[in-house]
Amino acid sequence: METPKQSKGADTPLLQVLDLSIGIKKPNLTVQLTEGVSFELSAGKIHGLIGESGCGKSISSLAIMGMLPEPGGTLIAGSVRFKGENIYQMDELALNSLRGDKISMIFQEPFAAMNPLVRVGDQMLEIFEYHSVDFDRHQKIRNLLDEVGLSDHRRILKSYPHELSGGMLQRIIIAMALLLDPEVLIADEPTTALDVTVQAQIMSLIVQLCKERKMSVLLISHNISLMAQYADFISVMYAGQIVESNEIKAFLSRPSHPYSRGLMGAVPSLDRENKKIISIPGQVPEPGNYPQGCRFNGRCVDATEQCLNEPPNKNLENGGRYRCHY
Amino acid sequence: MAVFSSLTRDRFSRFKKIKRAWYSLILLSVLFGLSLISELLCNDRPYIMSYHGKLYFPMFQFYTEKEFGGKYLTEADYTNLRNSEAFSGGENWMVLPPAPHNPMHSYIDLEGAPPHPPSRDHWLGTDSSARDVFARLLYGFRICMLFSLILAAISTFLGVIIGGVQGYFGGIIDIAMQRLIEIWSSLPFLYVVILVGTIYSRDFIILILVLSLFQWIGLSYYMRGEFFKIRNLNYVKVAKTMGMSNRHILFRQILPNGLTPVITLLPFQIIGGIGALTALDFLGFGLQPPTPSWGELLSQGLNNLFAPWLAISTVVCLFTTLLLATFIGEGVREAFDPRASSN
Repeated sequence: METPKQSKGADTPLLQVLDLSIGIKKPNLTVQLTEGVSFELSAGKIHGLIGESGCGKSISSLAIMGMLPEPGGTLIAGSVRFKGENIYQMDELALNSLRGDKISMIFQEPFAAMNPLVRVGDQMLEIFEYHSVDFDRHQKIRNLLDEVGLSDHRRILKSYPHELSGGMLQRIIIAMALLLDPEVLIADEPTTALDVTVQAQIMSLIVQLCKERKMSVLLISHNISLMAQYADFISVMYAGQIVESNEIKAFLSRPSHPYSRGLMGAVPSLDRENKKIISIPGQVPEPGNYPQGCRFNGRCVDATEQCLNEPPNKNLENGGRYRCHY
Repeated sequence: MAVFSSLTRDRFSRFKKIKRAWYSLILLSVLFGLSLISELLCNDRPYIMSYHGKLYFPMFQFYTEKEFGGKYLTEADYTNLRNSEAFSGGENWMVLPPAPHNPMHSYIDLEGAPPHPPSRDHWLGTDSSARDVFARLLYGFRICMLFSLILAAISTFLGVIIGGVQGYFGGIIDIAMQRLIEIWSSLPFLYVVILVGTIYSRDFIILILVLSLFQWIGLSYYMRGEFFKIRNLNYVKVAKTMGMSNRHILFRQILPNGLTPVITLLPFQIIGGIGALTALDFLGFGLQPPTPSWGELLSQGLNNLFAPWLAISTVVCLFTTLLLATFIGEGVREAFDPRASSN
């Protein structure tokens, strides 16, 4: 697989999400789920997307592959550009050959991510029915199983999903996602359903694959320590917007949005023994019920008159962006 | 692709362990199998016969009455021939099936008025038209089973397709179809049967078509729910993110995983079909009369209460068939119980 050299500045990034707004059409109104979501993925880097349940992480990630929520999902504005090409202007055929081939995805529940009635090996082979390849398919599967650290190939390929453990299945799913050497891998909470020890293994596997293959990874999670450990960039999502995005180091040392600070404060830590874990007051507003101005205004202790009226959007001097007036 | 997954095999072996259901299945299949060849078992045409030194094979070949000394070119009546003097006089012989009766033949020569009580010749007696009750029960069973199997097949097909489309596409398609189904299902079924039966003939195919217009509705509800559930499962999403086609997702990912209600409901659909046909025949809206049918025998039994062999034999047959089918259905449901398979 040929990979571009580490792109420098002006090159277009591998995948760009620009101002993406997605909604659901109801009979008499459209409920907006995400608004103006923008981020970039570049080769060999892990981009973290963090936020609580229902903030639009998964919707945005599926939208990268051109999959809108069903029923009634609709693209309100924005675009997703893969190597400069807007995938929302592709036809179904081109889109289907992009999916799995160039962009591929792993899901959080390994047990639910595989068809319970089909053997693992057959499920892997099925993918090739929709994408023509010029390499030996069986050999490729075996190589990939080696790569994800599974050795007993014969048994695994002949097994049904319920006969394998969660960690093994997640490795198989990663192998499946890599079958066609994708350039972008979306990992939607790949470790939430797994034991902590297995979590670490799977994460280091993903990091290793990302670096080796110069693949670009979008890592979705609600676990900030996981992000701190593995991500290169981070975007914090709140109520359908990205409220802050920056390089991970800059972000960790100085989070700018009050929500990010809240997230950081809510992490228990060993070296801050006496500190109380801070929780963010209030609840996430529901889609369609987002407040005017800053979406965090109802829960922010420092909210002012300005926060109630004007939606904030600011750039940081170190290249990051955040949505807060202060 | 594995045709039978280990799950299916598990379920099958669990079904086999439920003795009552397993033996019911065997018994009902054997009975149905025998009824499929009832022409060979219960027929007034001999397998082979010798008449004036010549061999005839009436069961497999058509002979006119003329060949045996009659006047007409219609098929010979072997029951009359057997009893005629011309036949018993010479060196003639015939090999008859175990139950030598045609369900359509009226034994008007029997002593007394029909219905005749059970006798050596007529094990279950005759009905009010002097036709052999055993023969009519046997042929009636075949019609009943064929009817309900075909009906179940058609309504399963319709139910899966319609429920599947609703569940898979959802949204406005689902809501619109659901309202239409509600309107459709509130049509008075019996009136439709009577109307269609009056306008067209009341034959087998028309009756199946009319009944299958209504029978699929129940199953479609289940299939809609299954498809709704499965299309949101992750493996369907995975298939989508892998760029697989809608058709693949529908037929290879969702359908095989959503077949449980089809299989568990199938025996009960068959029971429903038998019940429906019998009821319609009983009311006189079913199959065209001389067709042997259980419903018609039941109504004869009601009209001839002094001839209990009519009602009793029919009720016993109906009860046994329904009981066997219920046992099978119960066994299938138990074998498919997810709570039993989880360990």
